[in-house]
Amino acid sequence: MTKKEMKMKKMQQQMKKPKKDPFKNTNHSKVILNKKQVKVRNEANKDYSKMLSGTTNRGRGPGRGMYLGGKPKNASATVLRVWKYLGKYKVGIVIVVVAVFSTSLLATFIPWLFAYAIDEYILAYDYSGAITIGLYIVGIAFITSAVRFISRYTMVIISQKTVKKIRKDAFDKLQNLPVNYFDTNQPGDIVSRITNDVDLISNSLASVTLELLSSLITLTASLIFMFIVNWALALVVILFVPLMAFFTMKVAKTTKKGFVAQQKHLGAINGIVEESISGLKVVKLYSQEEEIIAEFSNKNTQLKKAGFKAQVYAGVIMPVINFLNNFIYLVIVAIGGILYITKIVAISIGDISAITAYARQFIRPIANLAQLFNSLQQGIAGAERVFNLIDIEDEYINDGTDEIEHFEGYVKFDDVTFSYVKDVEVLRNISFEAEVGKTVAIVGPTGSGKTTIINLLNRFYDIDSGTIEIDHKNIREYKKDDLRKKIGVVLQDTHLFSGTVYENVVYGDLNATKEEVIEAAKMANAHDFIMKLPKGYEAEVYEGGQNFSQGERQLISIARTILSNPDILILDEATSNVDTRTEFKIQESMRLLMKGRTSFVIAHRLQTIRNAHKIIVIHDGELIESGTHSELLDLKGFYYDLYTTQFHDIIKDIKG
Amino acid sequence: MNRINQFFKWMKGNKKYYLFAALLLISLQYFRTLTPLFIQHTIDSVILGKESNLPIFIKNMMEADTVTKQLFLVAVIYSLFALMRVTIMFIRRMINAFYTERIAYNMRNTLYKKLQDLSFSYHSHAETGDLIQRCTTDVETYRVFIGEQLIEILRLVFLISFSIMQMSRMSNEMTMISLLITPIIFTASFVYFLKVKKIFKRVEEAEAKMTTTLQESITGIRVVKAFAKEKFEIEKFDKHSKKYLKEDFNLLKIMAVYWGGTDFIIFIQYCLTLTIGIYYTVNGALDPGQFIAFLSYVGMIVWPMRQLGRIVGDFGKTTVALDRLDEIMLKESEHDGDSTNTPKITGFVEFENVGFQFDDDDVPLLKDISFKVNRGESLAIVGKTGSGKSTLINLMIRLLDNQKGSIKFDGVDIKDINKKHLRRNVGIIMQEPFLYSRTLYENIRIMNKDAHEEKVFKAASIASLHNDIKGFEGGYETMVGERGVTLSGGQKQRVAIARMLLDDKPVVIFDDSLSAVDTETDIQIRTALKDHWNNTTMFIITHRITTAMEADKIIVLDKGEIVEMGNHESLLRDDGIYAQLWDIQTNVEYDFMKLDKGVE
Repeated sequence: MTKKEMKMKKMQQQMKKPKKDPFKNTNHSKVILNKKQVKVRNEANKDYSKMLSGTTNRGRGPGRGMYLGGKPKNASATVLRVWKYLGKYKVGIVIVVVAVFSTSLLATFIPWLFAYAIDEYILAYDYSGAITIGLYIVGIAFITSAVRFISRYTMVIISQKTVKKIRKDAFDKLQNLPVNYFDTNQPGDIVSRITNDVDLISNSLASVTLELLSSLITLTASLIFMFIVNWALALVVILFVPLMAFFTMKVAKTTKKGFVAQQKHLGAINGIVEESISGLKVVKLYSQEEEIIAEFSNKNTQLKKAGFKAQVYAGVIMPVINFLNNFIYLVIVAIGGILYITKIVAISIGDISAITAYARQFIRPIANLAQLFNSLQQGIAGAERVFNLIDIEDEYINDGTDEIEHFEGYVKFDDVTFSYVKDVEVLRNISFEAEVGKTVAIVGPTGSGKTTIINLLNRFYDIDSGTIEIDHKNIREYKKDDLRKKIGVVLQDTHLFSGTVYENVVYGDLNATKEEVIEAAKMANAHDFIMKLPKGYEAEVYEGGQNFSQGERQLISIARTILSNPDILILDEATSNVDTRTEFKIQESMRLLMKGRTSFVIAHRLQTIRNAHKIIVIHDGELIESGTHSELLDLKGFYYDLYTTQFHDIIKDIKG
Repeated sequence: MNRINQFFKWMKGNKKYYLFAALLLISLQYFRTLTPLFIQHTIDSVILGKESNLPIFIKNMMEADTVTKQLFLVAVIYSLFALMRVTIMFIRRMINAFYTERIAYNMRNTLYKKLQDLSFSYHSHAETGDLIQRCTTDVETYRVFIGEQLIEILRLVFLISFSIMQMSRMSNEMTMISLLITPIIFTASFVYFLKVKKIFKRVEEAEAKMTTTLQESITGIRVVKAFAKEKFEIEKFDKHSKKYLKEDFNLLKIMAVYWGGTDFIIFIQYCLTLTIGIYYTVNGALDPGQFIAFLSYVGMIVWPMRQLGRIVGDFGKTTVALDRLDEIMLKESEHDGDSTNTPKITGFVEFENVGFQFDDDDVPLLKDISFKVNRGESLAIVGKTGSGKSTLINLMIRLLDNQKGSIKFDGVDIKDINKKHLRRNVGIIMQEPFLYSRTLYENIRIMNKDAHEEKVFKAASIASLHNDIKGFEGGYETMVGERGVTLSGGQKQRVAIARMLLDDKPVVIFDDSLSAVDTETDIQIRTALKDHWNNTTMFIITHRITTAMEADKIIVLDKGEIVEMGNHESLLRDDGIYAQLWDIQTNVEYDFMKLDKGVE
């Protein structure tokens, strides 16, 4: 095997090895799926009707409103930080706390008044006295609910404003994070932080903390009142507390397990449905209907079983709690009755009635407490995740200071070495120059590092060593935003924003007039097809631009770049999936765009490469050849091999 | 009546369980309304020596001579009674869980089967996300309705009725007073929930917009940064975030008014019962125990009333979900009335004046298509996007049915051939093949599960895939998809080719299926395929002229019509679209050849 052949072999392997291209890891279908999950989760987490209605999580299904998040690592620091956000609303918070205190305390007065009314007036048939007490009770109840209403309202406002501020801080930071953050984090995860996690904070602020506070106060107050009314019956009630707590927690734990399992199977089912519907054509083509139905049926059975289990577990909770409540009620009345008759301890009918009421007030918070703490913990964990995002260093922290009016366009790479992951060098010792207004074609097998080179020029990533200069100045000296504005990028797979076509083009220069936008579209060869759309420039672009073909998306993005009028250009030629005529249009408009601008093209077409003023050949992260087309062919090296093999069949065919 | 049918038809085979559960539930509500009477009994009868309102059969169980004994009996009977309630409650929940899960299971299975049977033209017009939602969310909506909401309505109605019954056994006047304002509670709640839906929707839309903005700024972060538009994105998000907050806050305000308002009405009802109750008690018209019982019963009426209004107001959701499900179920299956004829297919294909157009389109997608392909021949179809290439293929395997002309396999019109049989005989390799989240090995073997290892390896080799797979850490056992490796477009296409190689079909269609493979590998594969498939009729759809040129026959489609037909040489001579495409794609290669010669 000659040396050349070996080189070829190596290159072929290179081309086939699936390397991770950072440009391609935005898996759109995944994002959409995640969004769906996010939405489902949001819906599960949010039950509007409960936000102002009193207790949270009172509902039947412990599975609802359950967020399967982790535990916070540093709870106190996180709480302190949330508190800082709340600091602005000190007056509001004081109002809320005072309100919660007073209403909880007032509520515990009612059974006592009631008992008093029974003993002193009703049993004595004193109508006017009873009415007076009745009016007191009515008054207290009225004031309590009014104050409670105000406090909830205030708290909702405070939490909404706080959460909005947190969300804004998180999003602001997100926009300023370096690109590698987005390489290493799933879009779904990031979205979840800014939606779900923030919602969790909102939930724990608005209802959980309030509920917790009022539960604790009610708990203590009713305990004290019980002892004041009758110590003996109070002791009886207290005896039941551990029992109650034990049962509730035990059952809640089992129930949660059941629902987690159900959720898992539901996810699996959704997966199958999604996979088989989007692949329905295949199913039909391969006549796989029976098999896929059997598979579905199988998973469906599992879901049925898990769902049944979960419901049975949940089914235990209510009856048990119900039973315990009734049982305590009964014990109080029975023991109270015995005490009343035997007179071992002095007690009145009113006292018995009061203790039953207090018992209820006392037990309910205890049953709720575990769940409330759990929700609070989730809220804190959510806050922690959001704050972690906010705390990441943004990419402008060491930004350059030089402003840029205009680039001439001289670019120089000097001994540049770069790695995405530490110690795994993707580019090694790259040096080359681009003359003002000239075109540089970057050629090489997939995964050789072509895309990486252009990512370095606009500082999406910073190099490990060496220097990159534009107009004889290190690019680190320039302001990043200015640098990027002056470097236009047209990618192979273009991202469009949902909105209108017009909005997508005008993105290049938000101050452009309508005429300028149309002019840019015309230059990009996009005007004609845009005008054929039902609404022309106002035609709607769906999320991710899925309603446009890849070629059309690229034409729009070229128009966008033309409008932004950059001084230096980076182009990524399309390889496939574009029909010949569209491709021709793209070629033409790219050529127009490149005129007079220093351009870097990741090239696949021979014509583009041949027309370039300079070709650099990248292989395995190194620049192995550079020169013009004919120079490189004369060299009979890697470039020569690449093209003689790629086109050998055509040449053969034409030769005869 | 239709509505009722619609509600209950999914319950097939489960109605008796449902009825049983409902009866248990109703009995539970009755028992629940007995609880206040136990207290009334204790206070009025045992302690104060007045009349008890408990039903006689229970009262009789607690007869005793001393007060202590009576109290003891009350305790015992009440405990037993509570235990019984708990047991019934538990059994009812079990039954409920049993049939709701069964119903949901049946629904999902039925729907899923139906979806598989629906025609391709239905699916090509339906949104995947929407269908998935119907299979999951809409089923869930119905499950919740049957398993929870309907039950809840029953529960509330009977709880209220029994409470009223128990109250009227004590005092008619007092009962009237305790019910005075309750209709208002129901109406207010019902009307409110009927109206608030729009606002819910607005909030959801605002939230969706915010999430979309967020999501797009992440997926498009490189565009954002390349244009240095971070500030613009921040402002955009801020705008949507504000809008969402405003809508959400609006909703909360309205909610607050509702909860506050109904709370207030309920409160007035309590006040009424309380003050007038005290008056009656002091007057002696009511015993103290009865008075306490009345207060309990008010609670058993007012809160359920509010809840009831809410659920009834929320009915619409279920109706919509059921309508959506019906829409699928009532669609005709593509196998209804299909031919049972399964003639031998060898690969002789004829198109005679074939035409097709979608019902809701004005322009035909294909017009007057005629050609013949003999067994073992290859036909290339060239044309730009939208010229009708894919439609032509879809007609051949009857994913769509041509309205005009006829398509014949070995002289038999395909409408007289069983669909599944037809599809088993025609293989399609798609441009974006679908891979299952299984191992590569399983993915290749999907068409022929009996193929042994050697055959799989050979197929993979012919498809130039074997070396790639060997390069993966897990080899053939590497998982594909979310849990495993992501394959490149070219690799996916080669998996699809390997699949087809395992299953000898007389007709194979390449739907632009080598587009993502580089030219060199393309040639390599095609050469290998030619040897392997010399008796197979091949249809090749392509953009690449160099791929088309080697076919025995080439047709050029434009706007649904055959504009040129022939072989490479004759089409070049004709100097039409084909020649034009050839020029665009190859002029550089000619130049290259010249250069190449120069170098030589």
